[in-house]
Amino acid sequence: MVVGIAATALQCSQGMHTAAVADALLGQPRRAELLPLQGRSLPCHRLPGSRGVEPLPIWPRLLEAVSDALAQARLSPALLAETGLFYGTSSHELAEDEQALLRTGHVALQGRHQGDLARRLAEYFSLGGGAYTLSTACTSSANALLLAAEAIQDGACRAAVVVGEESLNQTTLLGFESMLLLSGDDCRPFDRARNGMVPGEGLAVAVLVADGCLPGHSGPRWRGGASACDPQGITCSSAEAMAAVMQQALQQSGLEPGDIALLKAHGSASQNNDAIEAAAMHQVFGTSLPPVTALKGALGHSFGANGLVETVALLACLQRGMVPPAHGFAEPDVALDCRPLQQPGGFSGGAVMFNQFGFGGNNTSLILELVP
Amino acid sequence: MMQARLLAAGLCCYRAEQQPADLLALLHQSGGPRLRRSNRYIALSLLGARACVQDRTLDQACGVYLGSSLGNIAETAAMMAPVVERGEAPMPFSFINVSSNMAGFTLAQQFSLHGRNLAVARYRHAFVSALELAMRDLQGGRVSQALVGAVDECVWPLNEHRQRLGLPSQTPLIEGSGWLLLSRQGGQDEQGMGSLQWQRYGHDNTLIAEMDGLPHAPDHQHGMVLSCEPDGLVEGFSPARDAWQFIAALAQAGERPVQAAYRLAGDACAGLRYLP
Repeated sequence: MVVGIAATALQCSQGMHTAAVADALLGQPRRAELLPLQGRSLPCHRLPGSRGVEPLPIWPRLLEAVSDALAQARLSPALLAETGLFYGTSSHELAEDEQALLRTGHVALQGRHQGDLARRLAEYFSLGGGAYTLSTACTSSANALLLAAEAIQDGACRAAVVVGEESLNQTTLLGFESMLLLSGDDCRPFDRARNGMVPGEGLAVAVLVADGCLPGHSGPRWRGGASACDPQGITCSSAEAMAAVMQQALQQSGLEPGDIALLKAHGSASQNNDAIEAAAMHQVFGTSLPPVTALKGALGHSFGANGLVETVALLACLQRGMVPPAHGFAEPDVALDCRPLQQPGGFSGGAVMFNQFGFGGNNTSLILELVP
Repeated sequence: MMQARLLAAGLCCYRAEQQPADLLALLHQSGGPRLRRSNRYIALSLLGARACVQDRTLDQACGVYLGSSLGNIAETAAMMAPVVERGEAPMPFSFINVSSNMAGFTLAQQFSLHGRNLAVARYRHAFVSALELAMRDLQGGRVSQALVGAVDECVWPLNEHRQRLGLPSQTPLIEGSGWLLLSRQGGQDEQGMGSLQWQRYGHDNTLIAEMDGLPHAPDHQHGMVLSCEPDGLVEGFSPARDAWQFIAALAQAGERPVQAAYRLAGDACAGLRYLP
């Protein structure tokens, strides 16, 4: 069964609408801002309108983004009753829990009533196909997208709303700082001078529908994907395991490496992880990689949301016939033999691979296709 | 309807006493690994999974589907206050272990599993969601086996935890970890215990008509009904108790069928049926 992406919505540091984000990625994106936090200054990609460490309220933004996407998709009430909700996040409502702690002195962790946002969204929009919250570190929303597409293909639902959400919180920021994984300035994926990630936040929505439910749909189509765990590496997978999940995704999609027209790398800009990811890409594609881009230089690393945020952002550019460059990449690291795009390029259609790799060896590779 | 082969069921469940049980020591004393740089939630996950898997060798392509209502709440709570109040960065491994998929990763390490590894979050009936996703993957051929669990821990001090859960003071609390090992119906593991079926229903009446072993349909007050109560399950509250009751009933089922129904959102129900 063919599954299509009928509509999307996006909120991130580069804008609160998909079009604005595509404009930024294809032009001059805003740089990360310095966030004063507990005596430190940390570069972060915050949502426009954010003040200090206080998060923008999640629920109103979710309502706006999902409403926007559903309005674009124009699903009938009958179809909504057979639409599932797949929500990917690694921090749930931790940002709001932290604010509550500051106000009350009490660790309520109401956000630990996990899955509550997904349940509320499903009830609000009368989505009757089940509500699922996936929390697998940096692959959370990528896994949500994968499971949503598979659920439609399996006939478990006829459409799906996929949400990826992450709000920056102090625990996550200081946690990554303690691991020496944060850059003090910029995110430079695969660059010779890369020195770590820049955290970001984001909210992305994608509405998937089974072919035939929306006659005349000509948007991006799901080809296949794979998700697997590498039990060897708690903070970073091996190149072999990353390569294996890409190969599984190709197999699921009925494609060969040479069929990939573009690859969106995870590209977290850590010294070690980028090197391993580059090695994995070479294991799959040999010496001749497809065109590669990476988006964390412009969007930051939105952790659990990054899979869907980057997918929606890239699709927005591709649907204009353009590929965004890997902002932040300037000088190649010879050892990696990986040169992401440094200028916007043209895109005339084809299969695109989206890779995400997370803590706990959780690896996900997804393939979508855009027809010319 | 989805169907899978049930190979094993097992769980551990403990009453929460004044002081938290040393689960890491308990794990080691029961023949399990001595986990370093770990936490009680991960130890709990592994204790229950070992009770299920025992001495079996699992397929490398076995998937892990861990459902939890509260996740690794204790370590998150312990980490948050120093961060927010004093700007103290967490210790690296404590921070890593807060990630919801670390328990699943530990299981993958212990049992050498390379399949998909999902953490499913839901306050009510997280296990039912995890089981649904696992059975769909089995049916779709995406995994050859599935280890499906429900894990929930308590947080000390217990009175704060009762407040957090909206419970009266002195409510007995329990924590635990229950697991099922499944394989594809019609696959190589035809030995097993029997068949497990999962079906979503849109209306309670349909459910009752099809599942005679149930006393009544689940309603808003009793979100789960079971055809037979298991023996010996520790008394006390946990959001995961409904899952552990079903798993314990399966573990004791022998030649007796077991049926359960869970009320999901709105009018939807999920019916589970074990046929030996």
